[in-house]
Amino acid sequence: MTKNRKKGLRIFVSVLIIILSLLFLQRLLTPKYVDDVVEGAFIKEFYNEEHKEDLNLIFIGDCEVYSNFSPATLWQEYGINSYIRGSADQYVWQSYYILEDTLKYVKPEAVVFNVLSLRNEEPKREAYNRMSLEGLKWSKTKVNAIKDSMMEDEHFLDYVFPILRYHSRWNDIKSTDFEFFFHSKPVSHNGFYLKTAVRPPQDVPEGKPLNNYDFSEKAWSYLDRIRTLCEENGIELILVKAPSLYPHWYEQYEQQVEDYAEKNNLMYINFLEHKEEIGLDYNTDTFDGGLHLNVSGAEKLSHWFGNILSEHGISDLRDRADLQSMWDEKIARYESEKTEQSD
Amino acid sequence: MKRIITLMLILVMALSFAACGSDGGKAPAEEASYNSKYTFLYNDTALPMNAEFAPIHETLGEESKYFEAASCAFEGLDKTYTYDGIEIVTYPLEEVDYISSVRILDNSVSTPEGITIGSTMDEVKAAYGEDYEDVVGQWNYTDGDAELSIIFNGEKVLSISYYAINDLTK
Repeated sequence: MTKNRKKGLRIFVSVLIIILSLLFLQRLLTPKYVDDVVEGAFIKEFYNEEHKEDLNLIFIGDCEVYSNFSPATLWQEYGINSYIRGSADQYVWQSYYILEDTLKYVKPEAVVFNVLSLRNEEPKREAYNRMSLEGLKWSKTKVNAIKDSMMEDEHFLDYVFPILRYHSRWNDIKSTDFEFFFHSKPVSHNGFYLKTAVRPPQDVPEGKPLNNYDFSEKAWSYLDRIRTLCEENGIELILVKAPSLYPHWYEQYEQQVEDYAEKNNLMYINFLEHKEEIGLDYNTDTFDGGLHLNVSGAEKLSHWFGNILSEHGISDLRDRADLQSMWDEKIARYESEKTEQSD
Repeated sequence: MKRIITLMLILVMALSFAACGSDGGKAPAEEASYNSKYTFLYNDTALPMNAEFAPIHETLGEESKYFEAASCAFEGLDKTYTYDGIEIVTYPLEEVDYISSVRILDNSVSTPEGITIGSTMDEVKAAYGEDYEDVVGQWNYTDGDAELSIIFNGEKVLSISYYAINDLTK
């Protein structure tokens, strides 16, 4: 081996070791979202789903979808094979891109969008962007989602190389960062965040006066894009407002959504107006004072909503042996976690 | 081999000291000067934005209503304390609650400059001047780490709020 070749090999090995070391550090330092804040894992978990192509109902939106609807109940009672692609404070433009990403894998019969996020014109917190976007698979969709979501002090490269964002996390490293270095564990139930705890609401504040109740042009524009995307793919878009008591849902918000739904011939259900029919008891059915439903509340809501969906023509897939077998396993894990949390 | 290890260490060190995203700075409360000419007084107790709430709470006494809300996917609670005529909201940071906003609820309470619900635009201008940002009928006066925000219904004041200015609440 000539001297030059030896030198070249040494440089090559050196560069390789540095790259591998950086990749190792990046993987170690990037949050795994398996213990405290599991919501950050929801978006990525979708890709591990078996039979994605057979999902016939997709939910998109913020915590008001991932906390309030139970896909297990929808399957058990109506044979609806659903998945929630929700994330914390998912903004309407993120919902659009997450739907675009989802449609690469499945063409459901219907998409359910929770309208609370229409009130947001700008992202509020970098951490929410991270939890909604990091889990998306890399594609043009993800690139556009990041570009449309970044706050002023965020940088696109930080999403490409998460080590640039998380390098200072070295002193927060936990044992789970090593345990889940190579793999992850499921933390949701088809995107549903299962909580059995009970905390009744107390002194929920009235909404404070706003200077402007109109949803922004940006919000309308992305809702239009969601609607158009559904139309182009022959998917029915259903708008909902989850029965969360807070943040306050203003009458002015309600009117705008009702007008939009009527104009575009969309189904819209504000569950806040059907609390009694659904059978919700906020003394037992919420885990955080009325912001989100616990599993008891989510099952009641899903039972009520599933009936509407079923009557509306969303297919019952319980005659599919492969899906039934998959759901048998899912429901066993679901029931097991309910028991575990209740003990 | 020594060179490789040295290079690796340099890279890791460089990354550690490089400017990072929003987690890199001081906590908002640490950055706050607590100095703003827009500071609300309630029964002679100052309620500065970004101030630690516990000692103020002790002075004010028990609230008539209390509500707490967890932020999605975050630990800690945004807490709302209601007293006669005002509502105080706090934000948590490393297990300490700081004042995030104060809102005047009715005309039993007024700002130190004498403005209350139902005051006129002219009275607001006389009290605070014309150096405000008009956001669709909402006048925002900013100074230091606080913003005084006044919403009008026609010519009359509908709502008065003080907001903390920091990385978390605005």
